Order: sequence, then C-alpha cells, then structure tokens
Amino acid sequence: MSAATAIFDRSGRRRVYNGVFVLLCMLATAIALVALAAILFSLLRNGFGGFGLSVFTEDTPPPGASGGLRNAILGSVLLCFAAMIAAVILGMLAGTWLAEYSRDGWYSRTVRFVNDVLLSAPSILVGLFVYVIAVRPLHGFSALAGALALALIAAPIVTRATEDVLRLQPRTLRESGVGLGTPFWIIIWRILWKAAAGGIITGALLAFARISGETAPLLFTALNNQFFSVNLLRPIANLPVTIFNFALSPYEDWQKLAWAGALLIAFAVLAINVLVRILAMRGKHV
Amino acid sequence: MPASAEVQTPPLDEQPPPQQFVEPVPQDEVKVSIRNLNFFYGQTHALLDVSMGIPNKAVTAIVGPSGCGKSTLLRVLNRIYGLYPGQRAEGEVLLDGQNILDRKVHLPWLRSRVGMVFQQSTPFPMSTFDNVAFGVRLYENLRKPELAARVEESLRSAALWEEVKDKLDRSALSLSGGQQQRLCVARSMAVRPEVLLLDEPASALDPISTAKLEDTIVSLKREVAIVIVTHNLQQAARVSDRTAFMFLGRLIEYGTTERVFNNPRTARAADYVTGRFG
Repeated sequence: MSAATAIFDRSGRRRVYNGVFVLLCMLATAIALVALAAILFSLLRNGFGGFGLSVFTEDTPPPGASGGLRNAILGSVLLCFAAMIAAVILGMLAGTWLAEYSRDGWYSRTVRFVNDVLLSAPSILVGLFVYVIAVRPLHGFSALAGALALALIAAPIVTRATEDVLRLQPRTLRESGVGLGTPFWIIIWRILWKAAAGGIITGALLAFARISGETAPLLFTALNNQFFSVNLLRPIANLPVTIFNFALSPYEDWQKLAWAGALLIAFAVLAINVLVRILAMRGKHV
Repeated sequence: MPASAEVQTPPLDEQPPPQQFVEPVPQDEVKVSIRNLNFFYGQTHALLDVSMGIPNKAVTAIVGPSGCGKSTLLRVLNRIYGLYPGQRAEGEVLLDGQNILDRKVHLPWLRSRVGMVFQQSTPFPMSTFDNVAFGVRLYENLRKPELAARVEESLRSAALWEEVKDKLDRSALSLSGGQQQRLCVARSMAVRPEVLLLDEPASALDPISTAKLEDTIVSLKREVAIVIVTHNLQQAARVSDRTAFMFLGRLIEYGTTERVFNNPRTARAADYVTGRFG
C-alpha cells in the first residue's frame, strides 16, 4: 500500500529531483547541439565561399593563383579505397575466424584484446608505426604507405563488426547448413556472410567514414603532393593534409580552399552515415 | 519430480512393473539400430545405455520430460553434436548396418543421408528456390530443368508447392512461420535422405500450421524413416507408429504408439502418458 502511494506521489521531493534531473539532461543536450550547430554553421558559411566547379576541375594552386582540389580529392578517394580493400579482406577474415573457428583459448582472447586496443589506438601512433616500417626502409613517402596506415585504422573496425554480427546469427542457421552436409567453409561463404551482410557493410562504411577524415597518419606516410599523381609509390595529394596545410597558411585563397575541402569531407561522411542508417533500417525488415 | 514416489505397492499376486520395457523392431524393418549408446556433455552423462531399433518408412516419436535426453539422442543420429567440443558418444549406431559413430565416416555423406529439421525454422538468406536447391547443388550436378523438377517435387512432398509456386524467386524470409518450417522440410527432402530427424518441428507453430506439418510428416513416411522429438503427446499419438519414452537419459519404454499410450507397461511411462507428471 505504502509502495503504491509512493509511486503515485508526485508532489514531494521526488518531483523536485525529477525536474532537476530532466533540466540537467536538457542543458547537456543543448550544449552539445549548440557546439555542433556552430561548427556546421561556420563550415557552411566559409565552405561555400570557396566552392565552385573549379574545386573539382583544377589542382591545388601555388599561392595567389587560381585552383581547386582535384588532385587532393582523387588522392583521398584512392587512398581510402585502397585502404578499405585491404581492411575489408583482413577484417572479414579475422572477424570470421574469431566468431566461427576460434575456440575460447588464450590465442583468440589475445587477438580480440589486441583488436580492441587497435580500435582506440591514437591515429598518430599508427602513422608513426607505418613510417618506421614502410617509409624509412623504402626511403620515401608513398601513397601505399598512406593506404597502409588507413587500413590499419579501418581493419579493427571491420573485424569487430564482422565478429559481432556473425555471433548474432542463430546457432540453428549453422546447424541447418551442417545438417544438409554442407562443408563449413561453404556455410560461411554462402549462408553466414550473406545473412550478416547488412552488419558487415555497415561496419565497413563506418570505418570508411572514420578514415576519410584522418590527417595524422597521412602526415608521416602519404605526405602530400602539389601535383596530380596516381602513382602509388610516390607521395600523393589528399584532402586532410591539404586542409591542414592550407588552413595554416597566410594566403586567403588557400584558406578558402581549406574550408571547401572541410565541407566536402563533412558531406561525404554525412552521406555515408545516412547510407548506413538506410541499410540498417532495411536490414531489420529482411 | 521423481516418478518413483508415485509407484504404489503392488498386490501380492502381481509382479512389480518393470523398470524398462522395450519392444524389439523386426529385423527386416530396422533402418537404424542403436546399441548401448552413451553420450557425454563434458562430464555430464546425458544418455545411459540406450538401445533401440528405428524402423524404415515409419514415424518414430521420442517423448519425455524436458532434459530427458530426447534431443540429445536425435543429435547423435546425424552426429551434429560433433560441432561442439567436449560432446562425445560411445556405443554403436548402425545405419543399414554401418556404424556411423566410426571416426572414418564421411560426415557430409552421413548428413546427406540423414536430414534434420529444427525447432526454429531456419531459411537461408536467399530465394525459396535456392533454399530447396541448396543441398542438391552440393552433391549433384543437375541441369536446370532437372533441378527445377527436383525443387518442385520436394516442395510438393512438403505440401508447400501450391502456396509458393508463383514466388519461388522471392526471399524465403518473406514466407510465414509455418511455410518456413515446411520449406526446411522440403530443403531436407530435396537431397533424398533416407532418414529425417525432426526436433520439435511444430513447437513454434500455430494450430493450423501444425496440422499441415503433421499431414506432411505422415505422407513423407512413405519415402523415409522419420524420427520426431516432441513435447506434445497428442502430436506423438497422431503422427507416430512407434513411441519411445525417455526419462533422465534412459530409454524407459518403447513400442507401438497404440500400445504405449493405451497399455504402458512401466510405471513411469504410465504416469507420463496419463498426464500425472511431465
């Protein structure tokens, strides 16, 4: 009886506590939203100032000349795709091994732990690591080294997503495959990966969004390039480092291009996130 | 609840009811012969000295309270337990005279002869047609029209053809629960097994879907030996020719369904089929 009255008693201290707590929550949300809106607003206002067709058709200019970001955009796309190819292959295989083949031994626990550490490793460390193993021995910055650094950041995300979504598949799905006499690798190839495709693609797209804005790992690896280049063994232009350089420069036209590049990355990441949401929603109905 | 608590003292002129009563299956009808089967989940002894014959072209029901080992027994018959470390079987299970517990048995071959349908329907994430054709494509190299004919034949045998014939290329996940379960039956039948194992196939279905599935089971016994594990005694009585009653990992009573239900010889089986426990 007393418990019931306590639940319906809205007049006393409980009501005050509740009000204060809701107010604090709203305040916290407001602070986060204001910050986000401020960033987006300045990005839009400044970014559109430097925007035009020339951004896509001309290469990065010397100070004072007109130009665009063509080489940087192409370089970024190239770096990200190369990195994602490596990361998806590595991550899917590692995640599949963790979910389907590893018995719960010290080795699988170690792999899982190391993967979790890599998930939150500072990206500048990854850049330095690749500098030591791929840039210094080959005596030169290269697009390949940049892609390698990005792949090392993306692979743990794909690994984790693959393992998680495979573990969500019902045990009986595997057993039905086995019950038909299917070799286990065919069950993985034809049934489990298909059933888990939505989650794996979502993980891969999130990894893609994450690496598309990474600057630190590229500073030590792909460096940058004033000119148009698709040679994977030479330094390559890319958006994040170009933004970094141009934004710190004293030249106004460079700064404008930096804003345009930032806006471009923001939109790309936004588009990827929207795509992920759509895929995730569709996945629920399948 | 221990059934022994309910055994009453027999009158002096009667023998006490036996602890076990297993009718032998005539030798020429036996498809699978289980001999002194023991099963272990790690240290847990889950099946104790189970011996029974499973007749060909008939339905054998395995009933008993939860945890009595009926699903475990079923999972030995296609060795699917082998997926999990620490599970092992001892004894003999002879399929047409060949011991399937032998290490040398080729497991995909065994499982293509002994099909299985689970409690939870598990359509593969592909079209209805591809689901049914999945197993066939693994073993046989059929040409397109032959494969289509096999798919139709299997869907008909599972009484699903009329309902799905116009949407074979739609995702199997769009079918209803009852249809999905009959699809799983069709998928198993498509590889032309000799034994079909059903692990509580109707426990997630509504009464109408259950009735359809039961009709399917009865008609399929013309082609294969069927073993069905069920919690539902009425279902066992409706579909099966023989019934095995298990309790705490032991086979207690086994015989023709009519006899086991109307005239059980062991006290535990009597208590169970009359609904006094379980």
